[in-house]
Amino acid sequence: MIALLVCLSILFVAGFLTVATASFTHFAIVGSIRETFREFLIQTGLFIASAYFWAVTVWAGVYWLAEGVSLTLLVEILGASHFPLLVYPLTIVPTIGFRLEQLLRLAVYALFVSALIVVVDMSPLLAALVCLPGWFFHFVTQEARMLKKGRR
Amino acid sequence: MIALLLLVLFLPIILAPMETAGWWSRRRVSRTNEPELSKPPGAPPKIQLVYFTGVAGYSGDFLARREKALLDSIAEQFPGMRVHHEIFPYSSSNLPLDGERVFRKLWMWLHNWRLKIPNNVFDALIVIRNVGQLLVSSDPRYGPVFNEGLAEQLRARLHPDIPTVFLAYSGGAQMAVGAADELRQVLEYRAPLHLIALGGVFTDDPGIHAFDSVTQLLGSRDYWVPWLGWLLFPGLWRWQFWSAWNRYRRSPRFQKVVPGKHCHVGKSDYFGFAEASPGQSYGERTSEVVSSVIRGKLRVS
Repeated sequence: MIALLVCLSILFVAGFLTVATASFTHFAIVGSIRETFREFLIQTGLFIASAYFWAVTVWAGVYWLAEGVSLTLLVEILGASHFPLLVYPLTIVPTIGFRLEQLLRLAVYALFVSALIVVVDMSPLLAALVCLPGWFFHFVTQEARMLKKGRR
Repeated sequence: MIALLLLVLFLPIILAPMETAGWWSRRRVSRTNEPELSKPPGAPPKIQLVYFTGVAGYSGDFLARREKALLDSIAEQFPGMRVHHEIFPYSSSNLPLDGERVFRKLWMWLHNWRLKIPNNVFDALIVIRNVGQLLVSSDPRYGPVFNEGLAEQLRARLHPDIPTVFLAYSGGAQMAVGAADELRQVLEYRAPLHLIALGGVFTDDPGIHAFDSVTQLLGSRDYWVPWLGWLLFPGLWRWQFWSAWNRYRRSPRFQKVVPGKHCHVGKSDYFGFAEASPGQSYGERTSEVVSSVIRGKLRVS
């Protein structure tokens, strides 16, 4: 239970930092401080929801391909895999930050895949394939929301 | 102590996007009251030349004596050419370093110091500040906003139906690339655009495709500054053959010219008064090559 709470906290903080930083880098911040904070919380909620959806797609994939695995365990792994995003504010540095942003997203994917290999005892290729659609959806939807709110 | 020094040196780069963010938020508020941009007054020129200074630039209005001499020498050879050097490319709102800024006094102090002792160590602060803006311009996230500001400054001054030549020194080349892309895409500028870069530092900005031609003048002793761009932007690496830069470089629209033994900064740079060959200075040689490139591209005499 404590492990789950810790992992969910990591996911929440990582999501909030990611959303807040991405709002700045995409020039998507408008309105008063209160409105901005509310917007950050909504976006963080969407970030967590898409992460949860990622866990569900992996759970369904693993259930179909190999032995079943508990969804709670997958959510724990997922939360912990978002640990690299705690340094997301560093991505505000122009150009270098853009490269870092890509690296951090890849790091989340790599961590989740590695953990899945260990926990479920899957082949690395299979684990990488199972995680790919959810990861893609998780970050692409976030990027799309930011682009919509920002300039383009 | 070293960490603190590094932090102070890199602070202008970390804070570089703030200026663009501030401009963007102010612009978003005032956008509804904005008047339509119209053609600049007066008879249209035959050619327009936009000069973007290097990363040591201070303002659009202030140009070093050497830069002025080069521009005058080029303009003399093309009657009817209109030269625009009043745009400060390292600010999305064309705000010079001595404009309404928080650190205005610091920049003015540094500039006055530079006038007394050229190329002193404090020059680095102005260079780092402007490099920060160059990185903002080339960043796929901030770049479109920054470059739109720069393009708007250009559009207010340029005649939309007249061919335009950008002459950009060093980091000014990236600023020209960013602005040209916005001129084409957002502001629907249709006249031919050509870029002549003097030791230009390019990035992997896909905006380079907005130019009808790009000519890179690179002196045989000018290697380390353009190389810095190569170091930071993987899109410039040869093996990334699909990158915007590599595709453009392979196309006939790109040309590399070695004007002589020019270096990047110093007495024998592209504006230098030192003698390059008997009876001709480095600046005069640059002017000669730039003029012949303009003649070739625009087919004017």
